[in-house]
Amino acid sequence: MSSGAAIEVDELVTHYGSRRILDRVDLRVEPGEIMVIMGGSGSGKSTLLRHLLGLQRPTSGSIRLLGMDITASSPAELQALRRNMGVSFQGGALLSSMTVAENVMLPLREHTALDEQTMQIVARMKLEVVNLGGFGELKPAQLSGGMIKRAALARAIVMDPKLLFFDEPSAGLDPVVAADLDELIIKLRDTMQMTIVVVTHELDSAFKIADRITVLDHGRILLTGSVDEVRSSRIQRVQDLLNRRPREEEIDPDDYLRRLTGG
Amino acid sequence: MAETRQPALAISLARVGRGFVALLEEFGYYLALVVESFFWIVLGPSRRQPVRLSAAVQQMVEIGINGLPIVFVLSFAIGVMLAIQGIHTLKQFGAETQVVLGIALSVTREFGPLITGILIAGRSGSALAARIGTMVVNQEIDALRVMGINPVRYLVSPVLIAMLVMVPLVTLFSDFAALLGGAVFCNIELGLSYAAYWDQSTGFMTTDDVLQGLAKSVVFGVIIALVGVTNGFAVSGGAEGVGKSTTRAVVLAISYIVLADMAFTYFLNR
Ligand SMILES: Nc1ncnc2c1ncn2[C@@H]1O[C@H](COP(=O)(O)OP(=O)(O)O)[C@@H](O)[C@H]1O
Ligand SMILES: [Mg+2]
Repeated sequence: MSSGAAIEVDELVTHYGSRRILDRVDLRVEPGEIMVIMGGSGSGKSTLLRHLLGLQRPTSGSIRLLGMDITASSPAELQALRRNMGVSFQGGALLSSMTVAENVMLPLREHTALDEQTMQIVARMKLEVVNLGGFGELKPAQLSGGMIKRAALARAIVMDPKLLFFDEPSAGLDPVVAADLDELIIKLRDTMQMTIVVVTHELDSAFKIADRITVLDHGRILLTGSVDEVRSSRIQRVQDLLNRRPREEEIDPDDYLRRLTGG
Repeated sequence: MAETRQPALAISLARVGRGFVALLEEFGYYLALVVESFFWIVLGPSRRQPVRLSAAVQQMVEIGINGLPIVFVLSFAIGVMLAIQGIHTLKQFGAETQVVLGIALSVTREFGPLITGILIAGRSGSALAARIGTMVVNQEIDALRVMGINPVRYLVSPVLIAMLVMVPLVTLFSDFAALLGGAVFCNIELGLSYAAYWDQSTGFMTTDDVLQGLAKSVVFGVIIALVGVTNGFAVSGGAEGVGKSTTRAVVLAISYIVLADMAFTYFLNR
């Protein structure tokens, strides 16, 4: 049970309506490692992440974060756990009504009894970590895409969380900016020993930052392994993904006919 | 599908049934939202998760103060309109001086709360749905939740407090503006002095008349908050979704306000 894993997902099954999105997903992330969840668009990466974050309840299966099963925990327990979690959402998800610094300070304001000046110092320090020193007084709308992601990262790490999650960190960024963000992710693991889960469909980024990679396809885990293991995998779907080959749909003639006739 | 073989009546009955269930669900959701909002207002501080008063004040300014000019203009116009109608009707009985009573009662019991409710629904209900809907689309609500910040406490409770305070206050303001409108017209048309108008109005009206209007306005405020917030949280499908929900919030809030007003008037005048 509590075997020391930072994240342990067991037989996770989830549905949207009657459609099964994740099918018996197992996942284990060790403390201090960067796990990249990779897969094509629509494979269920974001859905898996939303479950890891406790934003959605699964149909069945368990999700243990730092030893606590969040599918069976009370709101108060989940609340306590969330102080140990940081998330950088795809679009940043900064509160647009506040300045960058206020955004970064928000978790401190809500969860600690620090005085205003201390909070400001902490926020400034975190903004320095993500190379945004001096940008605290701007509103999110005044930042570029890359800056927004870094500001969101500053907010995610302000409580010094043990678990850090990224949804598509390099999506929508130019290659240089994306590479900077990759460096930052590795730096956080090295300097703060965070356990990091990154969801992405960008192969280059995945191979650069990952300690291990999990490949997700149509809601199933195809393979979990080191970068080299994934690269040299002989599973056809994995190779298709790596070589960006479109999926060849196997068509069931009966099913196809039924779809056409709308029956 | 099996349904295509069913008779038309069964299908439409099923549709009505589903619509009814959806409506019940929506009202259940409103109820839960009110309860949770009050839970945080009352118990938040002792759990070290207080409702932000600064946010409530900001909302009050937005709901109340910024809307005052338009409330004044429309309420004043309604007062004038009531005076015109009243004098015209009462003239046939040679009782036009009674118009002051008619205006006073109509304004405090009906028009003040109603016009205020409709205006605030249009201004603030839509803004509320748009603001929260945009936050949903930008994943800001998800971000709040993963930061351990309850969105109801953080976003809904302040709005509810602001509505509970401001809608009745603006209603009082609207009452005065409409009475003033009536007074100005009566002064021009009947030569009635403002002092006499005021004396007659306050002489006829009881505190109950005013309180009845204010009680309504409290309910209207709750309706605007709930409908605005709920439609905001229900947004899906990007910017287009925000637009749809905003429209829906305004139409629904105004409909519920008018229906609630009717029910109120019925039960209070039995
Ligand atoms: N809110 C939703 N309602 C219904 N279906 C959804 C919803 N979100 C995602 N899906 C479906 O779930 C599947 C997985 O989506 P997602 O987890 O977003 O994939 P990815 O992030 O890998 O692109 C997709 O087929 C998508 O259509
Ligand atoms: Mg996704």
